[in-house]
Amino acid sequence: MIKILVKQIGEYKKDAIITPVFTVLEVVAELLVPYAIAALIDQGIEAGTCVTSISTAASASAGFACNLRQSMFENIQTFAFSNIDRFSTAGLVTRMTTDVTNMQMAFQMCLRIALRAPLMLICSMAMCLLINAKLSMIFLVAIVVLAAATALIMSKAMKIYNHVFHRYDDLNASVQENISAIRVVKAFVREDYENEKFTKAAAKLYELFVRAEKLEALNMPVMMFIVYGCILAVSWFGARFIVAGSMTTGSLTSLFSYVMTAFSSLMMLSMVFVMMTMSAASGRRIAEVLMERPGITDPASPIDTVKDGSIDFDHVSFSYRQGSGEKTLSDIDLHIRSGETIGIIGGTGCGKSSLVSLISRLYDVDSGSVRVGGEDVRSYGLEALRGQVAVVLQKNVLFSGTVMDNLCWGKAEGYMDEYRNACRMACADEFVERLPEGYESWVERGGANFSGGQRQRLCIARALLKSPRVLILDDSTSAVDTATDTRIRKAMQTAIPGTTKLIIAQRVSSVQDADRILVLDNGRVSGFDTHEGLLKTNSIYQELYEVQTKGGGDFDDQ
Amino acid sequence: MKDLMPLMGRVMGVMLREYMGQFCLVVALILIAAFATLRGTLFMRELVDVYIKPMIGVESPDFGPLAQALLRLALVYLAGLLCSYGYNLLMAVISQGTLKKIRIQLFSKMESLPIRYFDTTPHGDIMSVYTNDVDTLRQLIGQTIPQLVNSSVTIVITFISMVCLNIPLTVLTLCMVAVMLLAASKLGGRSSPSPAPPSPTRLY
Ligand SMILES: Nc1ncnc2c1ncn2[C@@H]1O[C@H](COP(=O)(O)OP(=O)(O)OP(=O)(O)O)[C@@H](O)[C@H]1O
Ligand SMILES: [Mg+2]
Repeated sequence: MIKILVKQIGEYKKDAIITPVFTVLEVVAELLVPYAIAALIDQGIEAGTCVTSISTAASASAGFACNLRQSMFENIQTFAFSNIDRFSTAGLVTRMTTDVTNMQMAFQMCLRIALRAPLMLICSMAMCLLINAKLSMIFLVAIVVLAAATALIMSKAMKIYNHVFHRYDDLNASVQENISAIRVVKAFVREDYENEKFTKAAAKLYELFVRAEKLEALNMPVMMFIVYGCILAVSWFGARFIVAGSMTTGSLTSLFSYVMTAFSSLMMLSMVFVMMTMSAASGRRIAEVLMERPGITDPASPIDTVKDGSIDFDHVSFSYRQGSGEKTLSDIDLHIRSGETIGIIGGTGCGKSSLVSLISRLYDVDSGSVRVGGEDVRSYGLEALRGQVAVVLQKNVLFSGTVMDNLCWGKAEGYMDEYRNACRMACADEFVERLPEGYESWVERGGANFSGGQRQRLCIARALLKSPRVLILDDSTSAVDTATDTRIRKAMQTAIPGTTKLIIAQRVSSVQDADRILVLDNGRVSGFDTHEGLLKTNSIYQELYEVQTKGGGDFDDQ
Repeated sequence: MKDLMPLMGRVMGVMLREYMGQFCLVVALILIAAFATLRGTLFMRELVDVYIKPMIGVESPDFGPLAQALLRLALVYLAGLLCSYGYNLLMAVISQGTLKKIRIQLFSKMESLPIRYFDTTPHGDIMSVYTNDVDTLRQLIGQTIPQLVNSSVTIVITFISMVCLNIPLTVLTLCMVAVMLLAASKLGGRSSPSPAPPSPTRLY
């Protein structure tokens, strides 16, 4: 772990090394001061080296933090969904902010003090030994005891800090949820409830922090106890030595001044230890992110073209938490020909989204295999695969930028008529072209200034622009009126006949004229046939059809 | 730096509103602890002059008075030690409590803001108020404030004892300190073009 973190100092090594050098100079200057006649000049030197070492330490640690953040960010970009699920978004946020700040502070402190304090300590100890070896033995014993006590306290505190950062994650999760879902919170007037939830999380964090800090507060009296004990002992035995004639009063006085120097460097050291315990927990959390290997990577020799749009599921099982035994999909065996239009239908949470996420390899299967164009998805390069399998996610997102920027995202260099074409197919042209600035209109973050249906249509257009071999629409027309929905499906039928289309829907009307319809039930295939076939054989489908075609009127009659 | 003063005032305001009693107690405890330290320093001077010198060359020296003095000192030290433990404990509660209070205030303030605010402010910025900015406050409260109180008490006590000991030397020392501070601020100002501090006041 330390090796990984140290590597991140990177180009700031120079500053990191210079700092201790300046610190040594600083200590030397400080120790020389009492002996120097021209005290003024020496103080000038000291102030100079001191300021220099502060600024190099600051630059080294800021650089370190910057490198840490950058590497974490780069690594996170390679993460698969499963990696992100493991850390949670809020957890990653805490790691990139609070934990890095802790590391930065600790690093800066270490550079400045971790060398200086022990150096001062050793020097003053050496002076004590020179003055009176016998008396200094008291000192040595004291330091051993002190080290043991500190280690004990710190190891206890460390355990608490490990919990503290978990709480931080919870707190940030609560904040993040509230920021991104503020509309829901407001719509349901849940502010008080959320406030209460946050207050609880904050209180928990407070408790843990107070517990850790109270433990650390013990450090100070323990240290004072030992140092004061030393002073008393030195006074007593020193007096005896002097009276007996084996020591002079002058050396007793200088002994005291060195004891005080040692005392202050011990104080600084314990401060460093406090910082270190806190940052050790942070360091571990950062190292975890840096060491995390993406759960999904390109194979050694990736295939980079998808031959056709056929999709095969061979006895696929899948669960979000591997080894939990709880299967989200079990024994799925499907064979879809290139160019077919497949409807997927089934109750909420039955695994429709999970099924299609396996096709673009957002997750990997537990057993069995998924093949696209006849090859296992794991043998493609991710870019090639995802370039050819376009998914319009259930939770679609637009980014801040112009409408054009958002569309370009699907394809690097498009031409105006291609955009128009895609928008026409997705029925997005009707409202985009009515906007005063057309394709240059600004999209707010998350697409907040577009309606739900408009957003969905823009996302479909974005996916169409990739001219993919496989197009997956995960409940992508749920917010579009039925007539437009039909028009979109008709347009796709005629415009991209070669593309395999998977349409997940809640409405039977959205899938009934697909070539075949897949009925999922609780992670298993319940039926896979044409509309007519299913109506005859599949009870789940029959039920759905009855309820949806007869409409709400029947319920009123009952 | 200019932003820091009103911020400090605000944080101190929250702190004092919540923990007035405890804070006064902390100041009192710090005073006692500092006094104990001072007592120890003064004793070291006395040790040689008052207790050891008279015993040198005496046939059968009487260590009784010294033992008594050391015992008294030990008691003073013990008191100082307990006080410093006490104020560290209190400080943990005060600083973390203040942070908790600020976090909660931030959050409920955020919940009360109109949706327009969330549409127009980058979410990352809002998030960073809770992470980076509150962390900066944590540093400020957890380290700077106790240090500030501690150092100012130490300075005052040292100054008083210096005045008691020798007035001309005190004046000289003060001049030297002024020169040093001036030099340090000049040098410091030049060599650290530190990035602008984050402004934790945006939301709060
Ligand atoms: N990221 C995840 N981590 C853990 N479990 C998940 C995750 N996503 C989904 N699940 C679980 O997997 C199951 C299937 O979810 P899935 O999203 O595939 O359902 P769905 O059929 O798409 O439902 P809907 O019609 O509501 O979109 C659900 O029980 C859900 O709890
Ligand atoms: Mg779904």
